Amino acid sequence: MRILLVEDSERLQTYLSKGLRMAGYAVDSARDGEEGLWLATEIEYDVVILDLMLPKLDGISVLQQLRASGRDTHVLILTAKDTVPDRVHGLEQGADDYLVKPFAFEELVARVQTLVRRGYGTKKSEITVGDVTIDMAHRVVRRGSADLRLRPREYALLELLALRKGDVVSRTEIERHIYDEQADPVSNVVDSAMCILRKKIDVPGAPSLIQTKRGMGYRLQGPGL
Amino acid sequence: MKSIRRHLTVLLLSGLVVLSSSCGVGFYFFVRHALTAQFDRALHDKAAAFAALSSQNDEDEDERSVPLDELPTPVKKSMAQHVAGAELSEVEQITRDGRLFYKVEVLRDGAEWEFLLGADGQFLGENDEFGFAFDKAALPEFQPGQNPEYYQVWDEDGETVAKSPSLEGDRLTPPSGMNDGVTFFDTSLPQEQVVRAIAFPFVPRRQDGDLAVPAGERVVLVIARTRAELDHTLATLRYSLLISGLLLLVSAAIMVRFSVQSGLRPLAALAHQATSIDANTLSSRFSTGPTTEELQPICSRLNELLDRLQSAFDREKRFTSDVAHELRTPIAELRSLAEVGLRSAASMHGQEEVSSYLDDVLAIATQMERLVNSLLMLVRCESGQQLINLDHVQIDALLDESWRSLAETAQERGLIVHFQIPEDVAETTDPVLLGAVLTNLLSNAVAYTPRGGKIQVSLTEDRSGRTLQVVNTNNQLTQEDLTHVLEPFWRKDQARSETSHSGLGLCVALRLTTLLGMSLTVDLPSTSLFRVTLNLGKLHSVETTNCD
Repeated sequence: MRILLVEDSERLQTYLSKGLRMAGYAVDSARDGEEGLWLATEIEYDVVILDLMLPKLDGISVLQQLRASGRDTHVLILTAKDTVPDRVHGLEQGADDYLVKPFAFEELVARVQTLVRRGYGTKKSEITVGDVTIDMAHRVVRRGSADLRLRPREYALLELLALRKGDVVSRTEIERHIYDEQADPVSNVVDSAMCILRKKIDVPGAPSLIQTKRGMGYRLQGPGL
Repeated sequence: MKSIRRHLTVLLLSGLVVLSSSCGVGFYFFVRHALTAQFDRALHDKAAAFAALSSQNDEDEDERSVPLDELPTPVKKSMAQHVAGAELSEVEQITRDGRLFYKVEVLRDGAEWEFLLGADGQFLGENDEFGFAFDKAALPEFQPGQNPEYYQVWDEDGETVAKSPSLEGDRLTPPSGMNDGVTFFDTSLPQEQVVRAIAFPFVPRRQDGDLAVPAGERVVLVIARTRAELDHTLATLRYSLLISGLLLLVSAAIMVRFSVQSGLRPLAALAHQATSIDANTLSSRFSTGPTTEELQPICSRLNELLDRLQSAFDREKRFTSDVAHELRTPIAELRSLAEVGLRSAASMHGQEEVSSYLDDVLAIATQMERLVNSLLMLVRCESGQQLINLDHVQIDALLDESWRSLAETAQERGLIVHFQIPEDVAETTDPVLLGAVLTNLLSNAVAYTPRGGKIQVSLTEDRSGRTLQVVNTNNQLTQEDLTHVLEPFWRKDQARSETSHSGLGLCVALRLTTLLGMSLTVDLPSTSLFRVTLNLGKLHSVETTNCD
């Protein structure tokens, strides 16, 4: 899932990006409001994490202009402004969530995850495909009671397919949501990632849970459907 | 504790008691005096008439002898009763003041005896040697009966020469001084309680021959009349005064209580309003509209006080929340750093990555320390705890020292810095505090001058003293911003710029300069320049007390 982090504190930006990437998100970041607004308008992020006090263009203006441009990306405001009027104003201007600094990183991840799920229209935190269960709250994948060990990006790929379970997800879409601007997705990166993922979740001999629709993309579907 | 209500009640009531009782007593004595005077005047009139009668009776009297058969029947009957056993000499008919009397003269045992009968035959008294009885005894008020009046006449030797029939067997007490002129006195009679009497000396001028008192001799007449009625009236007056006084006091107490209570009601309302005000409702005000005239100034003063309190409170609250806000970001940084660090601890690659975390921790700690130091300095300045140690300070050296730590940043940001400081300028002030002021001014200039901008620092001297100016390129500030630059935590761009300035620098500098007796002003000499002017104060005659 791809996230935009608009935050003017350099250190906070560094560590939050690092932490979010470790949690399996693709993270782009912006240092000021103008850059943040440009990125958020250009790219379809799953979640935008937005500071309010930003140089050049403040967070509320970024939010207003983003909404005015027709983007309904989920926005989480992350700020040191903690008064009730501030929170209410932020939510009224179109934010989906509001988190006050200082915060627990874990909580930030949980809230981001909730917003991601909401983006795909599900409130369940577990998705089951065949005998594989994807636990989005704990970011683990299990077959039966055994945990499958996935790298963050492999997990993100599976989660995306799971959230769109039954749909064909195009390669471009996968590239857009799983890779941030730091990664350089060469044409076959999705194919090779898909190959590794299949090896990890499929039972040898059985038909694969991930089907390739040539020229269209991939589909995650349980057996018998 | 002093209570206005109690005070007013006691004052009003005691005043009323004194006033009403003195009025009552005064009124009573006035009335008593008036009644007694009236009583005495009546006595006096009677005595005077009595005396006049006794000297005039012969003139007014029409006396003529009456044959017995012409007498009316009641007189005849009465006469026969009284005359029995005596020899009748003569009966005279006396007409006095239109009233008819019969004087009967008889000889009894060889002595002449006279008595007086009324027209209805009533026995009016016997004539004595003096002969008054005939004249005065005839008056009905001197007859024995209900509330009679009394008289008695003494000659100069103290012998009784006449007395009223109403006295019967008793006697009046003669006045002590017989020749003292008219006097009034109270005396008592055995059957009567207390009587009021007048002693009236006069010289009777009787012309008839049976005068027992030699002509021209003084007699003293005492006429007495019971005081019972007067005393009764006075007693009634006393009681009614006392009762109405008590009623007045009771009703006054109720009225005073009520009026004091209702008069103090606005005060109670004020107190009620005051109790409803606490730290959270400082914005409420005492109503100055329909309140009483006396409370209006109090309400206004209280409201002014509340204004000041509220603004101080708001300032304090804003300051506290600003402090909290300023600390939030570094704490959020520290926390994220630690949490992400912990999560990635397993995958950390060697010393280098750990060092980069620790570098950031140190930088955050330094930033927070700077913030806390500035806050402490601000608080000390405000609470007057900042100590000032005066010393001989070389301004140019102090500027150099302050600049040293900033030079690197200035160079990095490509700032063009120009110092115009005369050498060997000394001032008597606190080197540490002035150093902090200079560092704040310079670091502020370095932080907020855009890349490639200019900073000019100059020190000039004129009659008004020394002036240090720090001018730097700034194309963000507006005239309106100038009112805020000296407030704590104010920044043009509320977002943290690349500097870690908390927005306390100029504020702290202002407080410190005030403490040092200097003045600090800010202005925009042109649209792209920001100028801070530090007036170091009157030129101290820098008498070189140096020891070389």
